[in-house]
Formats: sequence, structure tokens, C-alpha cells
Amino acid sequence: MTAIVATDVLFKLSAPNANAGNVQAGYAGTSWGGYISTTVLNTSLPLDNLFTDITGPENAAGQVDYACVFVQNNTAGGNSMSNVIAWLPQAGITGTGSNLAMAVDTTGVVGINNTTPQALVINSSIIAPTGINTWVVPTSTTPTSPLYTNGLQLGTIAPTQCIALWLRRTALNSSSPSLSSFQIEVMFSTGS
Amino acid sequence: MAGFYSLVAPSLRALKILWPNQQRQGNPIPHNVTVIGTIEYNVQTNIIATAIMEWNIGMPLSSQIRQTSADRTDFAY
Repeated sequence: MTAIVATDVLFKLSAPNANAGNVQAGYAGTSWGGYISTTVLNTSLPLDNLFTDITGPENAAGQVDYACVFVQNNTAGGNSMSNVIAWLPQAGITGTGSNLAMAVDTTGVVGINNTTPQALVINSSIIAPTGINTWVVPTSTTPTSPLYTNGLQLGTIAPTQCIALWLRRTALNSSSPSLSSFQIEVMFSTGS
Repeated sequence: MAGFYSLVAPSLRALKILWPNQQRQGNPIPHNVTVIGTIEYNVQTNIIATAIMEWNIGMPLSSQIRQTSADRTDFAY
């Protein structure tokens, strides 16, 4: 077996209208859970790659939006991603016009081609996914054992498996426009 | 008795050499990996544009006052 490298791990949008995993495209602005899509999160041109822009009225209203992103072990038959931790590094955040939080979907780790729902589904970005109670916020301290404070413990993701994460964005009624960005960091152990 | 020992010792050394190699194949050395995904969007704000219109409400110009021989009214301003 060869070791997993960073490029073996994919962040993917979700396809809320699919009926199986990894068969349908996903789209920014409508990544509302359900199934993993075939669309990899565009991190080369990240603008509006998951959430669309917060409009002026949405900003003034303090709108809260939700979006789903999948983490996939894209190795066909290699090592598993062990002790996976997902978190939002404070150092990766730019812009002050919104707050962010992240949670793990209650469905857990699943095969990427499953025909049963791989994540909760919402039909609007302003609707919270049901049953998710634990949200972590950005932190400047790397989550470490045993508490992994402000980190999400995702367990083990074997080859051709994935797990869904939910992002919650809150507009802050800021007085000036801004470009905002954040990073999802996933850490894990793998064999060599 | 001396011959017995010289026959046993070489085979024991061979077993000791082989065993560590088998252990490396069965127990991979773990290492940590970090993957980062970047997400970005604009935060817009409402802009309110105002246009001010103003005008004065004042007295009529003196040239507009009509004076007739029958009725003359003087005004002071």
C-alpha cells in the first residue's frame, strides 16, 4: 500500500436532488446535502465556490446560510484516513463581514456510491439541517488529543468512502463591503 | 558438547536477522497529512443614494405688481 497524500483527499459539493452518490454534478449556492456530487470544490478559483455572495439586503438582515461539503478518500485501494479531524483555522479567514461555524453530518462515514442518502438534505440555504447540535467555530489553536477543542472528530475514512460536513455562515450587517474567505483543514494519520 | 553449540548458534543468528524484516512489512509507519480547502465569497452592503431638491418660497417680484390709475397700491419691502 502507498501512503495517502493530500491530493488523494477531495472536497466535493453535494447534490441534493441525486438518488445515488457520485453520479450527479453539484453547484455552488445549492450544495444542500443529500449525496456526494461529482463536482470537486474549486479551490483554484475559490470565489463563490460554495456559498454565493451575501447581497446587501441579506447582509442588513443578518442572514444565516448553510451549505454541505463532502470529504472523500479518493484512493481506490490504499490506506485509510485515520483519526480524521476537521477544523476552521482562524489564520485562514479573511474579511470581517460574516461569522462561520462547522458541524459533521449525523449520517457519518459512507461509501461514495451509496444509493441511500449520504447526508441530511435542506431545500433552501436558510434552512438549518435537522438534528445537528454541535457546531465548532474558527480557532487559532490546532485541535489536539484528547479533547480536540473546536475540532470535529470524523473517525476513519477508508478508500472510496466519504463524510459530509455542514458550514453555517452568518452575515453581520457590516457597514462596508468585503471579500471574505475561509479554509477547511482536515488532518489525519495514514500508513506508509 | 562443544560441537552441539557450534551447530545451534548459526541458525539462531539467522532467525534473529529475518524477524525484524517481517515486522516492518506488517506494521506501517504512520505519518500525518493535512489537506486544506478554501472557500470565498463577497459580502455586499446596501447603498442608499439620495437626491435633494429644494426651492424657495418667496415674495413676488415687484415687476409683476400691476398699478392702474384707478387703484394704486404701494408696497414696501
